[in-house]
Amino acid sequence: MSPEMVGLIGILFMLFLLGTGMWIGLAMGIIGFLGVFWIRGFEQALNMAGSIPYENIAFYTLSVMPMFVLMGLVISQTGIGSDLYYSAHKCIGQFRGGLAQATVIACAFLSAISGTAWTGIIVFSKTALPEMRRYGYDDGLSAATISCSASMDILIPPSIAFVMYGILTENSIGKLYVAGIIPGVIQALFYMIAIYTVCRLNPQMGPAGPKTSLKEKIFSMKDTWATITLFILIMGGIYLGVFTPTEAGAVGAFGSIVIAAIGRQLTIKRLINSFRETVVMTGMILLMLVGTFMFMHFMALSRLPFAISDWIVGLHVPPFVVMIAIILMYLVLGGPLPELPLVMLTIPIIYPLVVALGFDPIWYGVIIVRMIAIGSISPPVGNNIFLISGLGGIPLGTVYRGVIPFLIADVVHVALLLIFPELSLFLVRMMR
Amino acid sequence: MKIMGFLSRMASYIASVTVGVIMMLTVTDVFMRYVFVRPLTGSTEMIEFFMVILILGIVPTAMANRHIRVDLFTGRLTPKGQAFFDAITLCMGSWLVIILGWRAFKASLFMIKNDVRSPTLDVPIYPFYGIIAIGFIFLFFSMIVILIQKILEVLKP
Repeated sequence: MSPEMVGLIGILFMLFLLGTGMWIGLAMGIIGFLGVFWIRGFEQALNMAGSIPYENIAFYTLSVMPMFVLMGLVISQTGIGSDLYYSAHKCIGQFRGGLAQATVIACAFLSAISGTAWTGIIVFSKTALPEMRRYGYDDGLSAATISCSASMDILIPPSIAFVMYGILTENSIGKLYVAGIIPGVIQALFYMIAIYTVCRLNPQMGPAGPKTSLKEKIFSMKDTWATITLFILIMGGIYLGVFTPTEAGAVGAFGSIVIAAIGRQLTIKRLINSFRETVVMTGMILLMLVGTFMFMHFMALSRLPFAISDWIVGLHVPPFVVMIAIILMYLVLGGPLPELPLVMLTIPIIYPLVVALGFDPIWYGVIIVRMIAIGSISPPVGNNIFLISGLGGIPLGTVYRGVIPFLIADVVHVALLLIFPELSLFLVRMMR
Repeated sequence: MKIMGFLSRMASYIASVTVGVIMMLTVTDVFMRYVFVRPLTGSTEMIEFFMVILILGIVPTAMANRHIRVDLFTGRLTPKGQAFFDAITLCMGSWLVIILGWRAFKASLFMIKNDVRSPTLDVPIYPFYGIIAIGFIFLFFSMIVILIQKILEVLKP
């Protein structure tokens, strides 16, 4: 049997194992081990099992991951980002749909200081959701605004999905971060336009909030100092080359703890909880990482990804059409799978094809992270939808209905990113 | 069960402290570099070693049933059906975990024999392979504990 055929059987067997509910890291590791055993023999498989965990965990760049997880947890436990919402609320809340648009703005800023989508959902389900309910907003629109805006978190840097993509493909995490900025800002603008359109067509969906004076608007901004400081610290530091993205993770985590302590939002209990939860989430990711590298080793030996690349390139199908097919695949998989497992499962197979077709790997990183975000808000199995439905006690059907305008905005947004790669790459070329 | 719970809590404490140490070490390094123009020597290597200690996090994650899985199909089953599938997947996965632990232990012995050290700080590498071995061996035992729980759940009338 050819190694390529072994690779194909391995992928099918892995899908079966995933279907049985096995831990993703273990499923990938088992297939990686058995695949190497089949192609190269038992001794080689055992050697791989001995070397892969240490070589890939004792890796400096990876230390950014627990740091950003810690920062996200401190923010969600202490509610640092909620001040942003109240400020945006005062500034534009009096307009039709203004509270929802304020949520988008606050989420965009929160995304710039946290790396995971659940941070935004947890923070704003406690603050923005009750406020929108108080002013008679449609539950579907409110829940969809929070879940969709939180999906910006993995596109707007810092983002754990970019970290994992960068590690697996050996691309610069700093460049990936910078590439996500403009698309993230455009995404926020598109969501605001979507909300405006919905409320214009049906004013009952998002009635105007209370009017505020100019003085109130200006004074409300004083509470946002914490988030703005963290934002400048992290993004300014990375973009100006003051520190690496890895260091930015630790500086951001430390900064969030100091800021929460100064604002008296941090108790010892919350701090300990944040550290314990960081350990659990890191454990989750490290086991998947070990499995992914074993699987990648097997894929490289099987040469299946390269055979697929050669085959598709040989078909002389326009690369753009292949990219659309890849995008649709991510859209389907992005629902049931969280962002990290999805990146880890697909990169070993898809990435060689993308490189062979001549696409820019940084641009591709932005596109797949974007598609994963859309998958997380797509009915019927989007993760963010389940989370906001559970936290807000809103029926899934109501959230599904509310998400539709945002998905339309997303389709236009992705089309824009595909047609104009410069939107992602412009700032990367300007980097020091 | 009690012993495994204790080991899991210990692993969680050690890894939590390590997260704090990684954070402080990196912040100190940045501070020293910009304020005193004297970055910490070997900080990158130290952080890499501390990252290895975080592997212990796989144990509390398992005990809390938090390792990521796709429950699209099994999520629709009855609790007994889910426990049955969990028991099978734990059996199917545990052999790999023990192989990972065993091979990391063997690699640790190899590092002792050949006195392999880190390039900058000249620290012996073997304890860190040992920590990886401990992480996977503890994970194996926690999987056995969970497996017993799942079997009891399936057999419960």
